[in-house]
Amino acid sequence: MARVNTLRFTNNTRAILPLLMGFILGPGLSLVASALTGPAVTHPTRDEQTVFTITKQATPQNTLQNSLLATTPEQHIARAKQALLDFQRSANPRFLGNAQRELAGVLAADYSADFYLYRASLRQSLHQFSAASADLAVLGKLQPNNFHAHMMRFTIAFVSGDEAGAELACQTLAKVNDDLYAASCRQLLRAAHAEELGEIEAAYRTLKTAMAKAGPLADRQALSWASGSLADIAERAGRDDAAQLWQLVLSMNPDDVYARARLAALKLAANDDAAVLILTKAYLAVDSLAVLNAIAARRQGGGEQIISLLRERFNEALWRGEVLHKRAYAQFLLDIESKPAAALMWAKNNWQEQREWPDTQLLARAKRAVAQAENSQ
Amino acid sequence: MIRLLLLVFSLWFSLSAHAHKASDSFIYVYADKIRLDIALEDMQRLQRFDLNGDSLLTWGELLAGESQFRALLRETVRLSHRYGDCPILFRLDGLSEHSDGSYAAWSLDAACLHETDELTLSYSLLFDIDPLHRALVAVNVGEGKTLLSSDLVQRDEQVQLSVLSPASPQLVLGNVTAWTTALKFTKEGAIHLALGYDHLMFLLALLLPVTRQRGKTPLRTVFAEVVGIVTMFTLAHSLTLVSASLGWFSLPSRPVEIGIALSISLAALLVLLNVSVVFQRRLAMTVGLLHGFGFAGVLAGMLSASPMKLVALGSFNLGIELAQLAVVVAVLPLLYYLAARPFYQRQLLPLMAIGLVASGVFMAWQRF
Repeated sequence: MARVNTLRFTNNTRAILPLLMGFILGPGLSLVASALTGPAVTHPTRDEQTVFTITKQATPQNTLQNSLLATTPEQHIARAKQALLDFQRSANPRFLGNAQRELAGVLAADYSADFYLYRASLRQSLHQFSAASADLAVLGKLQPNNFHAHMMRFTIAFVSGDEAGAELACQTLAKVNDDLYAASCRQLLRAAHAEELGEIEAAYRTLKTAMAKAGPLADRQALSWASGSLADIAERAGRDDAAQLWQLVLSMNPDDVYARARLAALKLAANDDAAVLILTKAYLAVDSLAVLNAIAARRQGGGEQIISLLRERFNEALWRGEVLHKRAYAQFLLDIESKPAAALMWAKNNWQEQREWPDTQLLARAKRAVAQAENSQ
Repeated sequence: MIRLLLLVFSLWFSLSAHAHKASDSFIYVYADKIRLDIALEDMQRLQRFDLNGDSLLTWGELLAGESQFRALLRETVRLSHRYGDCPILFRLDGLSEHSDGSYAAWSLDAACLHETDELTLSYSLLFDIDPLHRALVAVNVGEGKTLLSSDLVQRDEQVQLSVLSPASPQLVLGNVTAWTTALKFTKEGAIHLALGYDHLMFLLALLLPVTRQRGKTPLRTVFAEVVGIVTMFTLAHSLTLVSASLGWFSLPSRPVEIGIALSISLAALLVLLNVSVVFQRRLAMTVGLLHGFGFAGVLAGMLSASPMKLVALGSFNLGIELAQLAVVVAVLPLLYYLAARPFYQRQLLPLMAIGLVASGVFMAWQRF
């Protein structure tokens, strides 16, 4: 459904003024006042002037043509899988569009276990958690011992705060394969539900012991996953080695933007702005890292350019009506725009979908900022 | 294998929360022209501009591919008015910088933009290769919803913001008044009810029980009772119709359609049980919620093109209500008359009820 929103402007600047009536009227009606004219149009003076550099992120035309000609369900599913891998590598949402196109080309009669697996992955990436869970439920019936399905089930349930679902997925995971993945999910849940610091410390020690038992020759992906889980638990426990652990995850996979963002956030909290700028410099296309970069840059007395870029990017997302990066936007409003009330609104909205440790922290910070603002008034 | 697949699973949690900007085009509409900004990355997805294959797209290469791309634009970006399609002249104006990089700025000139008639903008560029692509539209309008000229951008203008997607690729521009919108959607609501045989069958199933009161209650009272039931039905389906149409809440269409079919069977089954009017009102309210989702599916396409959604929604509901009352006025006296016949009470009424039960089950089976 196309949304049409009408607002009165009081000036004709290019700045976009987001009015977040969506929280009153629902997400489908987020009202946004926008630029009237768009950015200035320039005319290159030389034909040789490079206007765009084609990277692997840009999909070549011939691939597209082949894709549109793909006829068998297997071809469509294989291309969807490749598109999801490309998205994983590049974080470019255009690959999610490619994946959706390919999966739409599979007829219902040809839906296979792989189809449900990749559609669930796509839906998860689009934050359609309920739909992803529905696909995983079907996949669970087709292949009760599908390790990947249980991993994704756990991830979705854990991130969205579904304690019972996460427990169940973790138990099933352990039955299928009681390895480092199962140990990680058990201790993550233990730490997340702990009411005392001692219990979180115990989860930390147990997982660390499991990793030591697995040894350095264990599956690298499993070690990476377990290290990330350990880093998360270490953060919850307030341990000093959390940053080192995130660094370890990053050293195993430098393209892991999640680990990079968690590490950069820890460095920012430790006022190590220089480290934040180094970690985020090459990842400004990634919202969460760009926001951390902007905060660190402002502390250093700069950051106008990245702040302006982020403002435009978030406003375009509001216009589109699909702000998937709610945590990053809430942090931007809190730490850059100094709008605690709006930040709290977005942090709460984010909390409805995601309940990871950084989400909890941000929500608490936004609440404190609002309380401080009210007290000072 | 596991390693490869685990990558797909987003080993770390909320991947999309870190993804960068989605694929969007930007459309700025004025009375004298339309500007369309398309990401160079998206243009490259549609057409190979990099003629020498050095992965560096130059301005010259862009100009060399302009003609071919213009042909694609002619197929996928259209303006129409009541007389049909309105020819557009596309011209590559230059480049613009958005938050995620360089875009090609296209200028669209069309004679019909200067008309005061209703215009419909259709956009489907990239939708076949990227269902997540969107066109973000800013329509510059003045008083009375007339389009503003690009040189008349003032300090207190209005901007209509919209999003075009594969599900709603059209947008109405220009002089659209509340009155014309209301008339159009009232008519659409009435037509939909008249053509929607499942809703009509449910309505009939709601009417039948009151005909059992023949002899006990005057026609005027029966009529008032039926109007009450039908209005309850309208209020309920209005609620879900508005919710679904505005994107607040929705249900998958298949279970809704099956539910609507089964609601006919349920209502018809209750005819045989001689239920009270109060019970019927409750049934109408409850089942009406489900029917609203069905109406919403039909309305979505039309609503997406209208800049006055609330007026359109209200009018569509009004149209349904008026059509329902018309059906009641037409059918109730006949049923009331027939209800005096023993044949009706003993045979025709149970037969109609059983027929409706069977039809509902059959439709549900078909939609399963």
